[in-house]
Amino acid sequence: VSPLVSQRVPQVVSSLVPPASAGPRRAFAAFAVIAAVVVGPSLVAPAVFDACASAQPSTVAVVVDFGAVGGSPDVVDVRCVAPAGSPRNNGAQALVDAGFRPRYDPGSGLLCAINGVPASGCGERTAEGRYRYWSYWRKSADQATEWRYAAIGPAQARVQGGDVEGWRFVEAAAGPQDPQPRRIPDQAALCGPPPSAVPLPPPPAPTPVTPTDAAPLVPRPGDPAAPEGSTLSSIPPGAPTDPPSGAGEEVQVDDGAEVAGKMTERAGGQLGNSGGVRGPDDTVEALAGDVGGDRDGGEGGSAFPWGVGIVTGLIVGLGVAAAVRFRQAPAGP
Amino acid sequence: MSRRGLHPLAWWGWAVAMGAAAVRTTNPLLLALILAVVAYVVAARRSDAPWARSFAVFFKFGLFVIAVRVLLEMLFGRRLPGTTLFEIPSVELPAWAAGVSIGGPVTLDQLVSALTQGLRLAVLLAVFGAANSLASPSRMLRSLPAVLYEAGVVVTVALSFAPQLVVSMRRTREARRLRGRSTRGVASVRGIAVPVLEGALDRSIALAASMDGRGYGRKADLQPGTRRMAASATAAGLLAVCGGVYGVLDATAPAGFGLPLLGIGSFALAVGLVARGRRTPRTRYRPDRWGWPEWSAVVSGVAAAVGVAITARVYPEALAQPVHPLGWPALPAVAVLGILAGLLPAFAAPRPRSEAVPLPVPAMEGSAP
Repeated sequence: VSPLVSQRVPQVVSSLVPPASAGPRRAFAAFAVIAAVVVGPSLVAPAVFDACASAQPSTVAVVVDFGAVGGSPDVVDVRCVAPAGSPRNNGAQALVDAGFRPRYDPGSGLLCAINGVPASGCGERTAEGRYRYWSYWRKSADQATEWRYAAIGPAQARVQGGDVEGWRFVEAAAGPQDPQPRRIPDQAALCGPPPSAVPLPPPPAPTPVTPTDAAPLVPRPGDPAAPEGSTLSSIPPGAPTDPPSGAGEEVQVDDGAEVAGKMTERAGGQLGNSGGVRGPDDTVEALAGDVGGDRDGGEGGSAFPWGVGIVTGLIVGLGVAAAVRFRQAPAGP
Repeated sequence: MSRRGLHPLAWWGWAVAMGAAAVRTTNPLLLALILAVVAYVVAARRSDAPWARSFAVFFKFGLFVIAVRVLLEMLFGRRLPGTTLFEIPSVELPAWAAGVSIGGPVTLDQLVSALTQGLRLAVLLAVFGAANSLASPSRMLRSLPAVLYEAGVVVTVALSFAPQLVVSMRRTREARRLRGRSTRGVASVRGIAVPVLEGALDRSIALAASMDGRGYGRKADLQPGTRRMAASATAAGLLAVCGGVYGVLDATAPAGFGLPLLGIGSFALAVGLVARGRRTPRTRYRPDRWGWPEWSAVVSGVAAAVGVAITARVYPEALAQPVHPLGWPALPAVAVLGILAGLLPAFAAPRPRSEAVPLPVPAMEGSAP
């Protein structure tokens, strides 16, 4: 909801509090006002939004922190996408539109992996009773600049321009005290100013990424997808869990050339959705080494396995035999 | 020497084990294989008794369950991104109801997920129907272990309700047909459902009452304190066994509570049995024998359950249909072989003799008692 409406709501609600005696009529009136307050914003919001559209950031920042848990690549991947239209404006769609490839548990719908990290398993419980899982964090456009541990899943979490969506692979107790994604959830700083405000630089060259202490992290030169908006930025060794102030290192690593890349427009996001953008994933997988390199590609569009055909034939044969025997008289003496 | 079909406890043991295999997986290949195996065994070894139609009834009920599951998924399902097939109109709910979604894009992943989960429930229902159509409920009641006498009425109603339902459904439909009314369509369901449910429950309770009147589960010659102790131990034991079975069968149950609870429950049941003592010895007229066909049936069912359990331990991903992202179901060889072993009773079990006798219940409808 826009700031205009959200400012008005507290006043109305505070005037609702009955002084001493509240009769049924008063209760009804209170109910009517509450209903108006609750339903109203969804009716009013579009008009108000149009009025101050210039001030409203248009993109959602998606921060995916691969952590450094069990061999996961120690990188933070920040991408910006325009939120999808009304029925699809949820966190899960934003994650896909940003070019990430999540894997969900078929039964519970829990997010198990992003870009093949981890290669298998889903929210595994370690021997110490902690969980190795993808924690989900959010920062709404109208909230203070701090991460909030999400109370609902990405498929339900509604997203609008200016929001920041955060994911971090952790091994922790699975609660709000878990380590947060290692970026300040400031959409403006993460995504940079709108493209109109910044002169577009010449075709972006592959940005050299500062290597961490372990492996040389060099993206493939001439990667066709590099301009599509990979802002792979490494974390300096020994970076604190909570970034000290601002997004200084972000600006330092991703200089002006990255701004255009960051502003991945809706079209780019859709491309990523349909599998056109491979670069960011490849880069992350190159960084990840053998973690999840072999599994995630083969699941989707693999060739028809012959064993499945044989067993299907067996099932059909048994079913036909059973149907034939059902037609006959029941077994007698 | 002629036999009167397989021991009913053996059929139930086989069916429970096949159900335990089905409940652990959403892999459509394994589920369809379980369904085919169970259907073939029923087709090969059903009798002409009225309750032998249970399998068909529960199979159709399973199809209905799948349809409902898919419909609910389309209306209120998870809205994870995927291959969108079509969109149904969505309702924009206010922010405080963000956890609920009504309508929206329907994806292929969603439909496959709903179909496989519905199929799992349908296969469980079919397995239950198979047990009801293969095992004679009256012989089953006769051969129950003495521990369950404490819960005599409950057990009687629980075991005979489903077969009575099938019998009752058939009679009600025939009655409607004789009166020249339709037995198809939605309108007929209303006219059939109530008398069927009511009739089945009435018959089960009448059976329990008549068995009670003949001394089933009677606790003679016991001190009141001992009797109370035995009854509470049996009740606690049954509860603990139920919880333990849930812990063993359900993959999402907290680890390490199923087996201990099962042990505690069995111990409590044993205490109840000992407390009752052997004061009231029971004789059985022409007891059902337990021979190698019975063992083979139970072992073949357990092979299916163990095959799936081994797969769950070694290769858990193979038991789930992959959605988000979609993929072909895996084919775990151990589970497939185990489930195929469940076919054994179709050949090893003796053919049932004609059981075309009504259930031992006084006729309820029409005639004066």
